[in-house]
Amino acid sequence: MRKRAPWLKLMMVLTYLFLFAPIIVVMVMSFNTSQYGTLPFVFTTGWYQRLLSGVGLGKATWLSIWFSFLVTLAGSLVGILTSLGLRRLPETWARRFISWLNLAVIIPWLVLGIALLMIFNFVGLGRSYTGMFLGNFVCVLPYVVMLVYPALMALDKNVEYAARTLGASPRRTLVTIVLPSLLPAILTSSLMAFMVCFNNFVIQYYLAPFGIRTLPMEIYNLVRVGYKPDINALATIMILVSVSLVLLVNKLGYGSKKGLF
Amino acid sequence: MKKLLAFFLVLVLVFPILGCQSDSGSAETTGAEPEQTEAAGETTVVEPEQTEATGEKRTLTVANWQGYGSDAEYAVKPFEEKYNCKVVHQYFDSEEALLNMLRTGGLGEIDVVLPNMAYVATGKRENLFSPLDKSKLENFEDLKENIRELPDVKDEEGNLLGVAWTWGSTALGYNPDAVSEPINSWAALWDPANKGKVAYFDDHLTAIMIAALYSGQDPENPDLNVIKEVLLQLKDNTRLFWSSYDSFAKPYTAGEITMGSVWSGAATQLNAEGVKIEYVYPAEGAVVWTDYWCIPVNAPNEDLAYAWINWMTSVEFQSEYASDLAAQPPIPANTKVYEVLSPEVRAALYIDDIDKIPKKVAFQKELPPEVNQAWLDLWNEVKATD
Amino acid sequence: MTKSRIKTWLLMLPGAGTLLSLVLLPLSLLLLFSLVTGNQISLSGALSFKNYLNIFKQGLFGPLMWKSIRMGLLVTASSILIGYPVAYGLAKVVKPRWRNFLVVMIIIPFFTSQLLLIYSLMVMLQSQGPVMTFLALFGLDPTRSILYSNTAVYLILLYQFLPYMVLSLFSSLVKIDDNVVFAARSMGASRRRVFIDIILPLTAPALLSGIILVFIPVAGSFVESNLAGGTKGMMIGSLIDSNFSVSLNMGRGCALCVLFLLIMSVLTFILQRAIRYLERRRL
Repeated sequence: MRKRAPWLKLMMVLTYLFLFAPIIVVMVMSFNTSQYGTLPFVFTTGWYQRLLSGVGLGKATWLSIWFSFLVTLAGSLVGILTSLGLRRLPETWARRFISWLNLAVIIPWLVLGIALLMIFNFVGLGRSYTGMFLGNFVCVLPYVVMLVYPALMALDKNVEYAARTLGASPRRTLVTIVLPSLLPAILTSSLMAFMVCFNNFVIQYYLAPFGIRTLPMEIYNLVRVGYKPDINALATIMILVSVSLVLLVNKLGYGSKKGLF
Repeated sequence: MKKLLAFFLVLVLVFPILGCQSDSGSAETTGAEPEQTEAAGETTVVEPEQTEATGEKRTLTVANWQGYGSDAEYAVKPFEEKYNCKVVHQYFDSEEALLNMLRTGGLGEIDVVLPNMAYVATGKRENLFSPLDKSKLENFEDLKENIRELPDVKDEEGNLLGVAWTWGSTALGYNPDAVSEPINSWAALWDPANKGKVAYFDDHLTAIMIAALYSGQDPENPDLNVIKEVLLQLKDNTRLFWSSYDSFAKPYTAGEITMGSVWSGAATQLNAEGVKIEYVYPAEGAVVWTDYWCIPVNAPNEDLAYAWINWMTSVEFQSEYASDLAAQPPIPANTKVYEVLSPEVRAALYIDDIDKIPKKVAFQKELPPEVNQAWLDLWNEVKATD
Repeated sequence: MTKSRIKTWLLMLPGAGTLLSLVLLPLSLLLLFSLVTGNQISLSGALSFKNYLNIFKQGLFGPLMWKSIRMGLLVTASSILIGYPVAYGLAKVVKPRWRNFLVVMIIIPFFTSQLLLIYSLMVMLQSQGPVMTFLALFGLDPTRSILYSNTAVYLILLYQFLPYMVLSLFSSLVKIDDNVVFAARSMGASRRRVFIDIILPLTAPALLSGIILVFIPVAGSFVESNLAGGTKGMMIGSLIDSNFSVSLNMGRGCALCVLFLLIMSVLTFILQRAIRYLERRRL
């Protein structure tokens, strides 16, 4: 199958260029003196100094990363459990359940955030980490279920039956047969979940505890007053660190054989 | 399976490294629970007792816009040192969000908050703010007379609800290089010669008030049918509606737009950053707004909140803030500050010549909810018309 | 109850609990408040359909909704057109050792901040920015950029939501056995036939997920159009948002939301049917 496919490759190159162009602009602008992103380009490292000497951006970044990681973990776990449960139900019920769950994507998050805040206030939770966690969790869950459940349904049940008749315990079947073949769906949905949670400004804006700011909130506030390119500097650092880590993992872990997916 | 495990291990590894620039290990919650002051209600002392250095620090929660003076280092640090406490900011992104924050769980959490005059009045109807004891306000007598005791910031018994802090205007800003002769009328925004070069503030109140000033109507009670016509004409000329400093400054600097309705503070900051902009009060009049410090009911640290208000309205702080031109400073309410400021700073704040400030100003004050909704509906209609 | 039934319920418990308490409960609140006039967080007033009547009287809902749907369809269609080749390339063409890296790279830009990326795109498009400076070489006026137009909004939305489509399709494409495609090709099926008869039916569920994840958020978006849409940018999301956060008219806002939800649900239902049809063609 691995034939030359020039137009496909061209398409991919263009898409990646499109996706990375703004990041490249951010990187360039982090070294540019003009804070409004206008040319001509005048080199400076001032924004990095400002960032390092700086305000609460580091703390907010850190909070967002950990928080999104936890939400993603919980979302993936519950999403997988739910998908496994859904498979045991009649398909029409399962589909109905998913459409209801999808409402969490259809309801504008602004409204969901306000409604959740009202509910949390009512039960005495108020603005809190727990509330913020639950709010982000419910936004993330449909993404996981929507990818994992179809993957589960596409799975050939005969393989499982074979394993079971050969004496594998249900748990062993799950761990050695079902989960590995779900891996692409699980991983891609986790990536999406992370992306959704990491950027979910609205829900966090309404549910974060008083005085606590996540990265999207911090950036939103900064942007309103006219953000300085030290945010660009921060983004540059984050991109460089994450790209090199992904590269490293790719080299170390899965260089030779088949990939994760 | 191993791969899966390895992947998650790597993820766990990745995150600490990504976050290494932060100083603390985990997301720390803000300070300890604020302790209740023993003296309640009317008998609170003006100067809060300074807790011993060994004791738990109290936390003053201030609600304000980000970057609006009170969260600058020169605002927070001296105060924290003097009163041995920690100042935490809770930001809001609109006046409505501020009220919503108080309504939905903010009472009892937030000590002091900065609403616009119109919203002091809205909050008043819902009993969100405590009446203030004037004897505890050190700088009250120095505050600008015509804004410190407006009816919107007093309750029915005549008690003061908010302390004037700053004021500013929304008037006309333009690039002097892009026009042949100086502009001094709102008509410039409607002039077809400037088609596609105009930016207009995306706020239903200001938008309608300016349209009323331009069409010679009472800005507080205009004929909405006429306003709609006028705004639709304006829309043809307009390139974009801006909603924050950045969304005006970027296209202005890039030359996408050359003029528009703009805040005085925004013009001050642009000039301070070397971007040329002329800011004028048009002959038809300008829109003026004022911001007030209020103490929400059930504030956990009322004594500290008074101390904060006194600090915020002091000559020392206000002059420092007003001189920090790149911080987009509004005009201080403490009139003693004007004497301290250098002529350059006064010119940059557009208060150098009192005659330049128009006699005709439209105060941004509270509208009844139905009127407010009607104005918003009108503005949305204008925006949605193709 | 059999052991298997109990197990099913146990598996479903967390998901169903979330659905009930964090989706359906807020939804019912929404329905309830849409019947309350004015901005009351309490339910003291009488319930009525006044909000809905007002919305229809104002007449903004229809045109704005239609505009948002059009934008949603446009972005979704583009993301499918781009998404299939890219996902296919990732799943079948790229060497496996690079596959992980390239898949993760798709979302790496979003490890920073969506808002920052929007701003960065705007910097690219603005006059005297890179794109216009480049176009100026071909004699275009660099001060008349395409920023502050619906084209700019379209580009920004496509940028933001393309990754969801690619990832969705990829997760399904990668499971297709190479031999199936190979066999079909060796038996003389054209590329087009392979795509229509094999790939499309097999990836239909993932396509549906992708469509939902792109179409719905795009139709409900408002930040992008407010920032980059200029004077003609307003979409239905802005109308909903302004009633919540500008005039604090909870009732009207909720009613608008309910209408939005209804229309979106009908559209997703239709989409589901269409996709189900594709799926049934599975060999």
